[in-house]
Amino acid sequence: MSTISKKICLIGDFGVGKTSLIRRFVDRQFSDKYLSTVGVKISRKSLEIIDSQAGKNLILQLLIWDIEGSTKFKGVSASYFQGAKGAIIVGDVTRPESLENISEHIQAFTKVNPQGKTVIALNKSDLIDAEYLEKYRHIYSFSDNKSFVSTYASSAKTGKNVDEIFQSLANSMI
Amino acid sequence: MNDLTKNILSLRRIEYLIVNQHWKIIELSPKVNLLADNSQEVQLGKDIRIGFPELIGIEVIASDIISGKQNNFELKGVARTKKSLNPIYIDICIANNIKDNQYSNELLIVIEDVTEKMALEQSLVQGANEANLLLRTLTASKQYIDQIVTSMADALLVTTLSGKIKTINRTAQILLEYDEAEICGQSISSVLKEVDSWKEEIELRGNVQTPLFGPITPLVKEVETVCQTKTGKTIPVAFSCSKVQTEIEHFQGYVYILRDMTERKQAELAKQEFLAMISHEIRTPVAAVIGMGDILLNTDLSKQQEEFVETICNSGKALLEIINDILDFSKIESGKLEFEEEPFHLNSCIEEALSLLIPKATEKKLELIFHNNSEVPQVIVSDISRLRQILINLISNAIKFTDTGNIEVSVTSRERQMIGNEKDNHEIQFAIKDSGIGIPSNRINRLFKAFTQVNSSITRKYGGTGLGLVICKQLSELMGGKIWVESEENKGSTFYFTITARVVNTLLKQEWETQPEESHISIDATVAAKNPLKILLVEDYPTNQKMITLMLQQMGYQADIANNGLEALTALRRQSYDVVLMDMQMPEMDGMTATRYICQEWDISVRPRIIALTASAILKDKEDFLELGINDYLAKPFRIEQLMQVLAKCHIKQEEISKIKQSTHTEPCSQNYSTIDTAALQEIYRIANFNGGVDAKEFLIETIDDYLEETPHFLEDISAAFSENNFKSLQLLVHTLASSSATLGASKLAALCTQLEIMVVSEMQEEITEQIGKLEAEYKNVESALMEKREKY
Repeated sequence: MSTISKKICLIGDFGVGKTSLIRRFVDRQFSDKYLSTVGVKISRKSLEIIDSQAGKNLILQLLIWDIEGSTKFKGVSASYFQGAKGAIIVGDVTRPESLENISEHIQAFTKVNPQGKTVIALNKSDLIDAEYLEKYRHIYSFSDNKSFVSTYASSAKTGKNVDEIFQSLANSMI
Repeated sequence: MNDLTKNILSLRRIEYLIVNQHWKIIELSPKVNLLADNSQEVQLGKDIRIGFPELIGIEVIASDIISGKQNNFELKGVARTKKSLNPIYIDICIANNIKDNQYSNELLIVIEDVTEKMALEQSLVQGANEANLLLRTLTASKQYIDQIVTSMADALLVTTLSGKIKTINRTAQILLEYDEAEICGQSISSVLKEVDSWKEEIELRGNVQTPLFGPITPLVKEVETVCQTKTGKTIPVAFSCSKVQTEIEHFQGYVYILRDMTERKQAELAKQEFLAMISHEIRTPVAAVIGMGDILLNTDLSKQQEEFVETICNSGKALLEIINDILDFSKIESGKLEFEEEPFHLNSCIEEALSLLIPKATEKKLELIFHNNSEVPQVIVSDISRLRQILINLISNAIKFTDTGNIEVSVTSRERQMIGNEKDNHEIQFAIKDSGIGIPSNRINRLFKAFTQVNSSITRKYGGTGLGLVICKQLSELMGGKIWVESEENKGSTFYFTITARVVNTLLKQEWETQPEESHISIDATVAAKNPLKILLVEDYPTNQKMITLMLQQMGYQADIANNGLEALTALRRQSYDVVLMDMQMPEMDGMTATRYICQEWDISVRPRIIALTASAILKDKEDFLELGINDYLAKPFRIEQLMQVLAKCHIKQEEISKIKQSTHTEPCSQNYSTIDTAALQEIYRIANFNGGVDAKEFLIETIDDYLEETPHFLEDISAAFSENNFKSLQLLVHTLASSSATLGASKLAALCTQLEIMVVSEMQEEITEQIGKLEAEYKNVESALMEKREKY
C-alpha cells in the first residue's frame, strides 16, 4: 500500500476544542483542563482510505496542524494554512460567537487554498440538547461553498463523530 | 556562510540550514538538529522535511522564493514536544540563499528558539482566554437569573440587611408605581408598613437545621398586609420574606415577594356579600314559613290540620338548620368565622346543650347522663355558643343513631405548657358516649369529611346534610383542639373533642339562669291594652309584613306599614310613633340609612324607639346597629314571644309621662334609692380588673375623680340652660348626668335626673326649678359619700 502525506489544519476561535479533538483522534484521550495553544503544534496520524478510482486502499498520513485559536485581538497567521489540503473548522455550540465566526475562518482558509476541503465541527455537543444540534447543523451547512464537505455535531469529550470528521475530510482530499 | 555570520548567529543561538531546490541539506549549523523533530535525520544530504515536517506543503512557496517571486516565508511558534520535557518553540524563516547579490537555487532556512517568548505568550493568552470565558459564563448566569427575577409574575424586592431597597423587578415597579431608580435606597417599611415586626420574627427563628439540606434560612410566608404605592394607594398584598445569607456582605439582605391580593380580596368580599344576601334571602321566606306556622298553631285547628301544620313547621325548622349549617361551613372555610371570647360556666354550657335535647331523648326513651367532674375548671374564657353548637351536634347525633340505652357526656381537663404569647392554659376534653349502631372501622375516616355520611342509606334513614361533623371538626380545631371517635359496630361510639381555653378564677353570676324561658304568658289582646303603643312597621317583603302584622294583631296592636326607609320618614313626619320596627335590608332606602335620618331629624326625646329586624347574625353588624342609635334588635326569624318581650321594653317614656300627668305629687324619692350603691363601684373595679392592662384601683379612683370634677360644671350648666329656656341642651345635660351618676352608683341622683329629664321634655317649669334644687342637694350627699369610698381604695 502506498502512503501519502497531506497537511490539514484545525481552525477556530479560542477554546472551542481544536486541541481536544486532535487529542481524542490521535491519543484517544480527553482532558477537561484548558490549556491555550500558542503558535502551532503538529501531530501525525495515519488513516486508511479507500480509493474508489484506483480501486485500492491507501494509507494517508495526516499532518495535523493544531493552530492557535483566534481572539478579538489576534487573527490567525495565514502562513500556517500554506499547503494544506483540507481544514476542520471548529465551533463551540455553547458559544454562539464562535459559530458565527466559522464562515470567516472558511474564507481565510480558502483564500490561501482555493482547492482545499473543509469540514465543520460543531463541538461540545454533549453540553446541549439534541434538538438544538439539528438546528445548528442546518444553519452551519455551507453547501453552496465549493470547499464544503459536511457539518458534524462532535464531542471530543464523548468521542462523538471525531473519527468521522477526520475520515470524511481525508476521503474528500483524495 | 562566512565565519562572521556564523559567529553572530551562534552567539544569538540562531541555527540555520541551507538546502537545495530538492530540499536536500547542503549546510547546517552545529546545533540545528536539537531543534528538529527528529534530530537523527538532520544530516547533510538528507531531506530537511524529515527532520522539519512543518516544511511539508510549502513547496510552492519554496519555488517562488528560489525564483525570486517571493522574498521570504515565516512560520512562527512551531511547537516541539518531547515526551518528558516542556515543549520548545521555534520560528522558521525561509529565504533565498543570495550569493553575490544573485538569487541562487538554494534556500536559507533560519531557525530560532523562541521558547521563552512563547511560554510567556502562552501564560498571557491563557489568562486572557480564561478570563474571557469566565466573564461570559458569569454574564450568562447573571442574565439568566435576572430574567427569572424580572419575568416573575409576583413583585420582588431585594433589600440590604438594614432594609434599604436595592432592586425591584418589573412587576414590583408596576405594582408600586415606582421606577427602580426612584425607589432604591428607600426603606422597605415605606412600602410595607408592618414589615419590621415580621423581620424580628425571622431573626427569632434563626437558622433552622434540616436533616436533609443542612441549615436553611427560614421563611415568613404569605403574611397578609397592605403596601403603599408611590401615589399613596393602599393595595392589599400577601408577602413572603426570606433572608439572603452569602459570605460577601454586599450580597446579604432580605428578599420580599409581594402578591397582589386585590382580586382575591374582591372575590372574598363578593363572597361575603353574597353570603350576607343569601343569609337574608333564604332566611326571610323560611322565617315566614316558620312564623306563619307558629301563628297557625295558635289558632283553632282540627287534629289533622294541626298535624299538617306541625309538619310544615318542622320542615321549615329543619330547612333553617341546614341553611345555618351551610352558612357556618362556608364561613369557616373562608376563614370568616368570628369567635367571641367571654367567660362562662362550663357546666352551664353543657347542661344547656343537654336540656335542649332532652325532649328528643325522652321521645326515644333514651337517658341523657352528664358526669360532672369537680376537677374541671368552673369558668373558662371561650365562645359559649360555638362550644354549645359542637355539643348539641354530637349529642343530637348520638340520640339519632341510638335506639336503646343512654348517652353519657363527660369532661376532663389538664393544664398545658404555654408557648410564647398563648393565653390558653388548659385543654378541656369532652366525651360523648352512646350505645348506638356504631360505625364500621373502615368508614371512620370518612366521618369528618364534608358532605359524606357513613353510607347513603344513612341519609335516607336518618337525614342530615353530612356537614354536622365536619363543622364540629372545624370549630374544635379553630378553638385549638381536635376531634376523634372510637367506635364498635352495634355496640356504640364515643366521640371525643378537645378545646383549649383560658381558665379564669372569677366566679360569675349564673348567667344562664337569667335567660328568659319560654314565656307562658298568654298572647292575646290584653298585651296592647296594658301597654298601648303606636307602632310603625318598616318592611318590604309582603309576606313578612303580613306575618308581623298578624303577630301584632294577636297582641292587640294595630301597626302602620311603610315599604321602605323613605316611606318610613314620610310616615314619621306625619305623626309620631312610639316604636319603629325596622327591617335592615330594604330597597330604596335601607334600614341603616333610614335610622340615621331619623336620628338626625328627631331628637332622642321625641324619637320613636327603633327596633332593628335583621336576618344577619354577624357580630359586627350588631355593633354597628347599637352605634347608629338603634335601641334593640330582633334576629329573624323571631317568634311572637320575642317580639312581645321587645315591645314590653317600649313603654317607659309614655308611661312615665302619663304617670306624671295623672298625679301632681309624685314622690319618686319614696323609692328605696341609696346615695351611693357600692355594687356599682365594685362593678367598675371588676371590669377594670378583668382587663389585663389596667390597674383596677387606679382606674376606679380616676373614674371617681373625673366624676367629682365634672359634675359641679354640669349642675352649673343645667341652671344656666334653664334660665335661658334652652330645653334642648338642658335635656341633654340632665340625660348625661343621669347616666354618669348611675355608673358611679349614685342611683338616687340618677333617678332624680331621669325625672328631671321627663319634666324638661314636658316643659313643666315649676317642677323643674324644684327638681334642680333637689339635684344639687343630693349631689352634695353623693360627693361626700364618694370621697369616703375613695379613701377606702
